[in-house]
Amino acid sequence: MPSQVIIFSTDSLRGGIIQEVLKRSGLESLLAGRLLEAGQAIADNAPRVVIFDTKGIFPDELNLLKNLCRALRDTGVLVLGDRSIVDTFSGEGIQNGLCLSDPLDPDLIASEVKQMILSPKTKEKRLQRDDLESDLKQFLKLD
Amino acid sequence: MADERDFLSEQRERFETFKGQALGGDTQSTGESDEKADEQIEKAKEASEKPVMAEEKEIGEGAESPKGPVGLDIGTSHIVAAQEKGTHIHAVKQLNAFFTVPKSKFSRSILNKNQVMYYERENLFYVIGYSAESFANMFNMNNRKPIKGGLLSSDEEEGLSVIQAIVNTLIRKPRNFGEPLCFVIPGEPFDGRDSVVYHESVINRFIGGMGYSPISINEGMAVVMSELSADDYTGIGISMGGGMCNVCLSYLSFPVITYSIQTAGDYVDSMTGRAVGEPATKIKGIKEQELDLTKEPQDRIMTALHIFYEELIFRLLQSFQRVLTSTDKIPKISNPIPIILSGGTATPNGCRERFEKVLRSIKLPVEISGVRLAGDPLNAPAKGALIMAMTEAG
Repeated sequence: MPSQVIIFSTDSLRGGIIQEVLKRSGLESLLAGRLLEAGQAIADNAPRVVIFDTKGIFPDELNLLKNLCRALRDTGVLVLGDRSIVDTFSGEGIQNGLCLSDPLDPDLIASEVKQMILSPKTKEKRLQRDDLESDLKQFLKLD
Repeated sequence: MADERDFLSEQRERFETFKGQALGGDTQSTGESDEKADEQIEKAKEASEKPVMAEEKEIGEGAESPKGPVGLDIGTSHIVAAQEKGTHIHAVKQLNAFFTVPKSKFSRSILNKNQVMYYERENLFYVIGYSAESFANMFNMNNRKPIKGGLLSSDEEEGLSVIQAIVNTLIRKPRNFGEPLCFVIPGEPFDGRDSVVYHESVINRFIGGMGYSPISINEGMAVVMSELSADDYTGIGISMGGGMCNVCLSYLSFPVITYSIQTAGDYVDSMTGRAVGEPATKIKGIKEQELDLTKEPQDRIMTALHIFYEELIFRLLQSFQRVLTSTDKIPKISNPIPIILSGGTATPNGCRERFEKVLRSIKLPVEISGVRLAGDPLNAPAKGALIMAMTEAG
């Protein structure tokens, strides 16, 4: 069964905590430690929500992440990390996006993810799966 | 130093991520093969509620070949092996010490006659475990320790072979090859003088060589695993041992903060000994038999023990405050969390109360619900390691 939530985090502790809290809220998720894996997981699963944890990622990865966010027009996006980094995502035109700066607040993340999944906007846009796949294939250079 | 420590822990976490990915594929799913994992975790949780039956390894008593997962705590003072046995956790321990005797036919016959545990290497007999203590007392000398300050001692060339020999008195090769064995490792020292990497790798190799599948667990985390199942493994586990105090802040079983200070029971013994002009081994004996921190000290040894105990607790909590206030790793925790104290140094009557008193005087970024002493403070790390091994079994 495809996962509704994909988590990208290079920090195994933070990623693991988010995954565990989501599990306790009844949400199955996939955790990816590398950006390309996250992109592939998104393409394979067409999730409703993607969580990007920017903690500890390299500047080059940050630019790739922003490109990936732009490609995710129809998926709920949650960006986490230091305020200085998270704030740079605000102007990136992420639709359905939400930025939460540190400290990591697992309970808030779980409640926001639940809301995003229940949001009719996300549900409706998720139907446009073909668009998502083609955008991601472009991002992953799979075409 | 702090930056270097952060860098090391970051590298370690990345390695862990890599290891996780290497073992479990590119992505880690909560949906796949979860039922079996949940079943193992439930079994481990049940085990954490079982009482510990501890025994000291008698001289001449043989070790058994374990069936099922094993927890192993290689501490500065003792080595403890724990296994699940029906309704209880069985912990067996041995003194982590040795004493050398020049090789001769006469000494061999004496050692054999007295059923002393020893092995021979080059021109020496290495008397190990509780036998070493008896021998050291007989010769009015101190025994030697393969672990110093919580880590493999660089002063003892044969330290690892001594540890191997002592472990072999507690457990033999497993009945089924590849049985999980979880061993306890200390956190990176707070002052950054030593590293845990060598210690962990060397022990990992020798456990693997015995036919087990080795896994390591931080000592403070092992305390959390042993004592905090009812709190969703969220809280602070502190192991106050001989050479080190180990601290772990765990959130939902994730070790968010781990570190150690190389100041613990041995420090109290040696500083008290220096202050009153007595050998540390004598002070240790008095401390273990008579110290009660709730009572006013009546002589200078007790006065000195009280002073250095207070200093140890203060140093521990001061380091804790510094680590917690200088990190951005701690997630928002909605409820106050408990602190669990374990280890031989936490056992004197009144230690918990002293700890609470000093705790009240410092400000922490997390709210504390209370301070508890582990159910079996001496065996809690080995029990926690066993629980971790059980979650990895099957």
